[in-house]
Amino acid sequence: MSEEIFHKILNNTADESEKQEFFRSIEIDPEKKEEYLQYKNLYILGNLNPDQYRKQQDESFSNFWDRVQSAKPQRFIGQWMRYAAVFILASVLSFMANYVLYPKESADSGNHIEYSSEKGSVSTVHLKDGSSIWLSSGTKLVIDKNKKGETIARLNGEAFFDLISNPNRKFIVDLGQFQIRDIGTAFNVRAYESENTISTTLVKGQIDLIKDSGKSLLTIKPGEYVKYDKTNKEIAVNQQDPSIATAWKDGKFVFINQPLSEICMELENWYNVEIRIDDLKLANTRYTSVVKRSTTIEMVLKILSVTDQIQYEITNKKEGKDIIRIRK
Amino acid sequence: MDKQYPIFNITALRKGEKKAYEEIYTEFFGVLYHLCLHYLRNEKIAEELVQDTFLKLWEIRETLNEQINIRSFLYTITKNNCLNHLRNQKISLKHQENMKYLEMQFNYEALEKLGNYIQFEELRNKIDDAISKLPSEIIETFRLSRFEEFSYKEIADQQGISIKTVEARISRALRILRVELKDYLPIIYMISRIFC
Repeated sequence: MSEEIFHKILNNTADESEKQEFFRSIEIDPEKKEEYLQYKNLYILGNLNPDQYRKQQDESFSNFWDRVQSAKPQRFIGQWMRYAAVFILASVLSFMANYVLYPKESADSGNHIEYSSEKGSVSTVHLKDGSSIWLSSGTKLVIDKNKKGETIARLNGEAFFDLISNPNRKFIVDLGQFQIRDIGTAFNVRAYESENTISTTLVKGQIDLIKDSGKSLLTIKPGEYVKYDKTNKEIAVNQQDPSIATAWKDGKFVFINQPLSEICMELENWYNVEIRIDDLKLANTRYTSVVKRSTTIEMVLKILSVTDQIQYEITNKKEGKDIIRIRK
Repeated sequence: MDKQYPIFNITALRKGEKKAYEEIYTEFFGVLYHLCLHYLRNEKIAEELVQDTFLKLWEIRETLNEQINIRSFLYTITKNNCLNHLRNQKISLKHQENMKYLEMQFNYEALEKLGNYIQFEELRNKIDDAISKLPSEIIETFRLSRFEEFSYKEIADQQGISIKTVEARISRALRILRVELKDYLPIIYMISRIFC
């Protein structure tokens, strides 16, 4: 390793091939990598001179001040459609997920692990083989190994699976009525016990839906969104931009032409509140919106109230969930 | 060498007074922006993330009390947001098999190592201390390189030395610092190796 390259990496003047050579070389050498990480921090902190950013600071502050002063609800987005109110909170706080994990390894079996994610937070689980699983708000995931050596995941909630391809490992998401079988893919599954539907969206790779009898139901391709209705046991396959289904993972709510009742369910789950809609027509009114999850429920309601003359009232409870009433 | 920190006017912050926020901005923006900028390598996102941190402070201003550690609050939120951003970027880059993916991965790991605010401040003070103890010819070169506007080439021109000498001095500075700071840098592999 030449010292020159090392410097170029540190002060960011290395070209692509130099970077490639360097990063590949430290990737396989933990000792060297450790050393690089230390130097990197040393270099960054050693170069810290806050006064050099005076200009950015002034600009940022005046921008910050404008934003906090104009934070009162405004009629800021036009393009009203009758059923769809687009409210985009471009200027909201950044996503701050609490990556809190609660692995509970049971004593009787080393292969049984439970993970859960609290309401209002997103958690990630990293498996030994490099696969990752994101758990949405209020989700419980149990991972087991069965006798055949297959990994079985049971889910109550919503999770995004990013699984490393491994022909020797079978990964199955057991959803009761059917199973999802995977070999190296990324997909989202939403299966809250409290909800009437189970849905899955495939981002990449391929997954098979298997009946509990073992019979293959259908093969899902990337970009397909499969929804299962628990009551009438119907399966519907649609095309959907996978980024919509996985937006929660990136700290956003994305609602595309969804009834207020469904939107409120999502908000209830994230903010741990109870929302009552006093008007059936209003409950069925559809909205389209993108909101960062880090914003407060109050802000979301405020936006709704300016966009569609919705009234809301929050009752803070000493015990139990706060109750929010929404009416026209 | 303990730094004297200005005491923030909590009452003014709670009331949302401009001057109080201006003071906090002056105290923190540079440090937070520097961190975001160097780990994320994107000026626009760095600015956004730091501003988001201050907006978060604004949002909770009414809950501020004398006990809350504002410095730690600002640092932690910024660091977490940076980590989140790197993580998300890693995910999207992973599928493109871009070299940037590895770079982001290493930046993520490096940033994680900075620890909590107290550890970060301690390391920062130690670095300042250690820099002031460097040999004088090195100190000058190193100080010049501390201003981002000066590339190695510009430092070389200014000091009438070659770029190689600049590099050598900075390597030496970093090496001395690393030895000096060995108790403060999380060293997992005790065997020290020279990086060349």
